[in-house]
Amino acid sequence: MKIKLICAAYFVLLLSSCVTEKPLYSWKDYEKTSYNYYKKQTPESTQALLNTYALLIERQEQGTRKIVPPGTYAEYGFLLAQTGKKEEGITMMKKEIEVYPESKIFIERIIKMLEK
Amino acid sequence: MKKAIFLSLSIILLLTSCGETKNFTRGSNYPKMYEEKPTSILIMPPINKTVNVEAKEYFYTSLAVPLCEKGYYVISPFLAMETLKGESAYDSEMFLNSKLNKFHDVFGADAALFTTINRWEKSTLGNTITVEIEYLLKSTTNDEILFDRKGTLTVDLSVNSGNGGLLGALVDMAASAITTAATDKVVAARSCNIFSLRDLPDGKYRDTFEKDQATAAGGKEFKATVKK
Repeated sequence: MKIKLICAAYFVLLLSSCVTEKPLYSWKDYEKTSYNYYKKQTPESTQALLNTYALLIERQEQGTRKIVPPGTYAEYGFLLAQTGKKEEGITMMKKEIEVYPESKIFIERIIKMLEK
Repeated sequence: MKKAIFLSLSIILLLTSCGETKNFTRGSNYPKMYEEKPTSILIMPPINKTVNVEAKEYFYTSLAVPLCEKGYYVISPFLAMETLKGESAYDSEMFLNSKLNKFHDVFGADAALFTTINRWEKSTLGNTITVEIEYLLKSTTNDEILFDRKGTLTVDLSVNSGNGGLLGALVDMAASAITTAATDKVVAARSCNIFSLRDLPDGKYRDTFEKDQATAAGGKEFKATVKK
């Protein structure tokens, strides 16, 4: 009985001795689609990345923050603007500033550039 | 007697279960992080000293996610790249020892992360990639070094991770997220980033922000092998 208890306690200790941190955000296949886009900008890789952003904004159930990760609105907005949806793109970029005020200086600069 | 053996064995296991020396902490290694409390980071395009030109992009594209997961606001490398190229600042090396305040002005970044890749070696026989790399996080307000770590990491590409232990869920997550993206090299770069940045004190979006000084850390210089 005692041994069992020791065993149990030991396993709990073993498991907790290495705290693994829970992810803050859901990334879906962002790492894959963003790398593919970076490597080669084709209509397919662009569309795949746009889809990923839309999904990241729609669903953040896996991360503990339940908030869209840094840069998502901004990158999505920029890509939208580049693919002809300027208004929608700028709206998205403004959302980045709303959610992450620390992005203001840089994102406002890009918005100004897009509005030119 | 049996009990004694069992007990000592389990203590050894317990001590080694994290495979880490417990002499260092985040607080003792990186006190300036706790003074400056940077919240936003600009990833500088990696400085590539290897003959493998692609190594730069493997690292450039795989730094943002682990830094975000550390709790920082990361200036989008995609958007920053355009601006950096436009200002002919795509070569980070010339900023390594210069004033960084303009990165604060243009990007609103509290700190800039420099990486220097010194070696990138793929061994087909052992199915491993060995990377020699330096990470340097510098304040954009006073140019001080806030975080620095360098070392040699061998990424074993032959086996999938899954035994959490050393790197835990983050690596698993990263590995599974990229497996279909064909290239082992991106996985290797990512594993390397996650391993090296593990000791970086947590940023403001983690509950442990400003509270993780006592968390055990590895040495500032490392030599290790990780599974992809």
